[in-house]
Amino acid sequence: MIRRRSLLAMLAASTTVSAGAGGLSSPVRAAPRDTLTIGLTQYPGTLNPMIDSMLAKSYVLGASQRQLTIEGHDWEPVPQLVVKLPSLEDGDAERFPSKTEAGEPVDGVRKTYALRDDAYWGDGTPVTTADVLFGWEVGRHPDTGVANFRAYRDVLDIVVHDDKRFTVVERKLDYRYRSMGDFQVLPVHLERPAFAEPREYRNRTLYQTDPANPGLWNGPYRVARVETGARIVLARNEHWKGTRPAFDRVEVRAIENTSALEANLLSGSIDMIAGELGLAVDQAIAFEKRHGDRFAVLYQPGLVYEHLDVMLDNPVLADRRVRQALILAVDRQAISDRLFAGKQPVADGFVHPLDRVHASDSVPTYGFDPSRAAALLEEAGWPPGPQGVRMNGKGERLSVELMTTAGNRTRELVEQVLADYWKRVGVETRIRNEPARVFFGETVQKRRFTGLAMFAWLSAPESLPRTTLHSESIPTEANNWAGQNATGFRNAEMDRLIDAAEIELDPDRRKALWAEMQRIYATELPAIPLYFRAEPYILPNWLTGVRPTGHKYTTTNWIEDWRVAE
Amino acid sequence: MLRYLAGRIVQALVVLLLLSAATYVLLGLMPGDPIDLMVGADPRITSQDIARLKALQGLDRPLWERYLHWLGAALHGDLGYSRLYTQPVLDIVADRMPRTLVLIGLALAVALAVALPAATVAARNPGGIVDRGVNLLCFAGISVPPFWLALILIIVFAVVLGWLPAGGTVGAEGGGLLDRAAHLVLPVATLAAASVAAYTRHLRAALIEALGEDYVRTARAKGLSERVVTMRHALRNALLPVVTLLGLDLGSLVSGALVTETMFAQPGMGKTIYDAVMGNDYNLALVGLLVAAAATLLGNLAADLAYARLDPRIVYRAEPGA
Amino acid sequence: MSAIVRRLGPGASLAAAILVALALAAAAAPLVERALGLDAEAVDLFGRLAPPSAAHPLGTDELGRDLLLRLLYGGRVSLTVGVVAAVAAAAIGTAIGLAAGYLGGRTDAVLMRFADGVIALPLLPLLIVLAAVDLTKLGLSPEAAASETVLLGRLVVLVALVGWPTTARLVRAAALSLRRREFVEAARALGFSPLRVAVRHVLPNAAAPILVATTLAVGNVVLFESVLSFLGLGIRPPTPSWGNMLTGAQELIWESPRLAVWPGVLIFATVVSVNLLGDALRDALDPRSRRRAAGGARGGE
Repeated sequence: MIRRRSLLAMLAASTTVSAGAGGLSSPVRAAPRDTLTIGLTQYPGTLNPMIDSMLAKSYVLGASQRQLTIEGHDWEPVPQLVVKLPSLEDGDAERFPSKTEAGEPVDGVRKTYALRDDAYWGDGTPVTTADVLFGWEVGRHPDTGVANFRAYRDVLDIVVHDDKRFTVVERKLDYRYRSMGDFQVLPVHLERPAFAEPREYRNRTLYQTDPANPGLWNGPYRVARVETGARIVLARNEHWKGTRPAFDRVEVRAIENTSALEANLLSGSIDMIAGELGLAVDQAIAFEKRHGDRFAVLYQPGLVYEHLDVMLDNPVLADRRVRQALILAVDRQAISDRLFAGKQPVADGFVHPLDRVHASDSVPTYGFDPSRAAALLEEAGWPPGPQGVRMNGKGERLSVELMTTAGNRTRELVEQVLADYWKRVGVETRIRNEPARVFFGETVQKRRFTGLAMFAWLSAPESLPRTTLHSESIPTEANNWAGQNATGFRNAEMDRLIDAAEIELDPDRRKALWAEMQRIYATELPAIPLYFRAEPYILPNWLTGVRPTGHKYTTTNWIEDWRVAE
Repeated sequence: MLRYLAGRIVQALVVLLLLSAATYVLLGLMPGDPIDLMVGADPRITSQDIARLKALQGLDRPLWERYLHWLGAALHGDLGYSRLYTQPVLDIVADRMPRTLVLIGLALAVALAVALPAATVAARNPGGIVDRGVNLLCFAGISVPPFWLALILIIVFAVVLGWLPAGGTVGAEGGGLLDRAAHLVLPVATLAAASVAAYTRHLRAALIEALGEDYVRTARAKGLSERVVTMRHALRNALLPVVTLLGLDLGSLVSGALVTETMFAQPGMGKTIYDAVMGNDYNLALVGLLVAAAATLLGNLAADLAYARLDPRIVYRAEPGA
Repeated sequence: MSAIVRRLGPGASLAAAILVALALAAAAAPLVERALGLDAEAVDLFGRLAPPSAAHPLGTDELGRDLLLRLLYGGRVSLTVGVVAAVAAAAIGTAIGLAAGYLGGRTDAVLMRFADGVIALPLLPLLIVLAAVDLTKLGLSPEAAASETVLLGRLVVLVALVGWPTTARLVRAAALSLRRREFVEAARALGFSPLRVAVRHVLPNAAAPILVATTLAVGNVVLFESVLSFLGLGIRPPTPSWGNMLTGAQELIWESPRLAVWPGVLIFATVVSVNLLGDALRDALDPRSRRRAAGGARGGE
């Protein structure tokens, strides 16, 4: 009896706690919205702009740490910390004779930028050329171990004119010369001591040891509080001279499980879900059906190219007819329409239809044509065999291994749809999925897959396929598995086009080169294009001004334009 | 007894040392190293860069040499830096471990607090209505996967009723103790559910068995009340299997609260270890796993000691079998 | 038949019937597939998430596949893995626990520290390594290495490898306390070999904890498999299991709760039935508990 009573008492106590808490986390807020809480599926490991590239970090840094230049909404470079982009026509950029690392003569470029007068670190120190120089020093040092450090090494020199003006001397004049790419500026007045020992910089940087130091940040917000693994709180940067952002605080919460993320949104724990790292598109479509009245869902077509890398060393797949048959046998339009409500367009190649270099004339496309697929397989020496699986003269079954990242539900669904389509034309599919770290770190990078590997490339606009299609980028044991041409695609014409397009400055002539690349790609099919992903942004009805870009530069780069609707 | 304890602790340390080697080898054997992942992420990296980076992180040396190097540093108190979080491993563990211990401690306490009375009531009348009801609830507890239980709890209590927060550790405004407690209710309930079922069932089975033993009948014959018989005599023996389970749970929960931590966005040891393993963060993964292992060993030791106190028939000697 | 019902009681008999029915249904999956004129793996993008109909008795899943067939094939996988893995773990655990508890001394110390080590073994890296082990390097053909049997085998081996210490500790505990009991001492005094005493006298008396642990383990393995699916380390598509079906249904919980309810109900039914059966078996096998159950019933009057 006593026992039972104590049990009841305990239950009662727990209800009191929950009732009390209900008041605190109630979805109804006080009238002024001074805090915006954003849900992401990833937590950034480090906040130092140089170390490890990670989408969650880019998201937070978009609001707090501006770059020299980025890509804008119309997928063209735009200045961020600098006043304008230099150009050969304006005279603030000029050619000079230079040499590649291998010693071949090439055109180099000197380009002059000026930092904005109103660019300040969060402690009131102006952003100066000293910070640019320091960024270069850290970035190119071989022991720092930064991501993308080749971007810094291609800078041969930086000539400082005064506190704001500087000239960058770059090894090679290429089509992207006006932008500074991922070059990062670091606050030298704070970070210098941490760099005393470059090897230890990644661990000693203030971004890690003292992230709430206001002087580290130069965006509209500064990091105010970090709870590793859980959330990052951003506060208004009082020294930001640009447009005053609408919210006093922005809180970024990491909730990995998308179902839980959705529930957090519905319960009011978070206000919005970022499209960059949010729900899968099918989940968002279902969400919109139920809650379209309370939330706006934006589907931004993105530069995320889902495809199947084909192992061209596999004799079966080396036959182009087999690759063509595989693509013709699949109704990709139906996949796009039925699984993704048409929000993720079918890909005809690696270039997004919205990219300015996209070409459609004279580029072959592949509709859904199972009978032609069957004919091609027949022609390639694979007549129908017993149990519905085709067999060649040697009695080998037409069986292909299909791999992707285990646990990615969308990919696993698509994988099964593909297998079913292929089964109908007599191709057997062996599905073998691996955890992401094994799949990317080993299987794809070291070219250990035997058939098809499904994954996506995330890129910037007009991003040259040098690392994915150039024959010099095939990872081998000898080159320490560098490069991303995992299919082993070798095409002299493609190599030539890539080399030519890189240094072609005339947009129209460059476009012609790109068109030729796309034609070769669609003819040779080193990979089977599936679709371009879309990013679903789930925003509360009262929030305006969030403009997705669809590329790797996140919406937070314009966070000062976000407003609360009346 | 003291000599026995000392012996066990020495044994545990030896097990830990062996485990550290085994874990190091396992981690090293896993496909892909940190640089391989970096290569995948950085398209313009060259062969020389990769070789240099591998040398920088010591990845070009054989596994055993790296282990000895790590061990040497670890014995001097230097556990290294986490690759993922670029923080000292010790700082991360020191931040996560207390959160995890609070979560596990509360969950185990709740589980025991529910299981003890439930099993006692059920065992008094096996096959009765109460017994069947308790059994059914236990079945419900064991047969729902934790991620589902978590999702349903979130939907019911956070989305539909709006009583409790759906996840995280504190509310948007920073929150006090009450706020933090509110954020713990659902995770603790999720974690406790499975343990409650297991404890109740083992306890009930053991109680029924104990109530049929001779000494209990003797006690009954002496005219002691049923409650005293159950409490004093039967329960003492029936606790044995539960003590074992508790000991086991303590360790497995340190790394096993992973699902709960993921669903409720709680940064704890389980999630940290998982992310470290998946992200090739050797230092953090190794230390995290060893901490979890140490907790298990401690739990087992505590369970064995409790055994000795509860079961008069077991006597531990320093040199068993001598 | 009626004798079995009498010995087990109506509840456990029903449980046994449910298990047999589930097992038979799962075994008959190919027959059902033929009878319905469907293909379990046939995707129909135009018939996604269809409600139950004559053609699809339980409706279709998110790829338009027949849910009933998926559940039946999933049952084959979940039940096989559950039973085989639990029994394997229990067998290893019983042998080691018995040896440790009965023989005692150094054997006990060594075996139990070994068990401690295994319990403390990091499961996660082991899982990833196991998921990545290239079996073709061990001489298996690519077809065989990717076959369903091998994929399930990995899971069974893993569960057995890490699951046995739980049983071992319980058995050892029972054996330890039994070792000093009169009837065991008597058997030893009669000069029976240690093996005989352990198997004939100690083991039957330790059967209760073994049975409880094993029955619970079957359910646990089924659940464990679903958690592995949740982490992306479980049974991979296109092979269905109740666990991965439940995981997949997670994101569709609002849109199509049906997809979660069915595998959930089947997991529930399986775990409940196995447990009821385990209880009843223990009562039926252990003479002392039968006596006690009778006594308990009288006490209740």
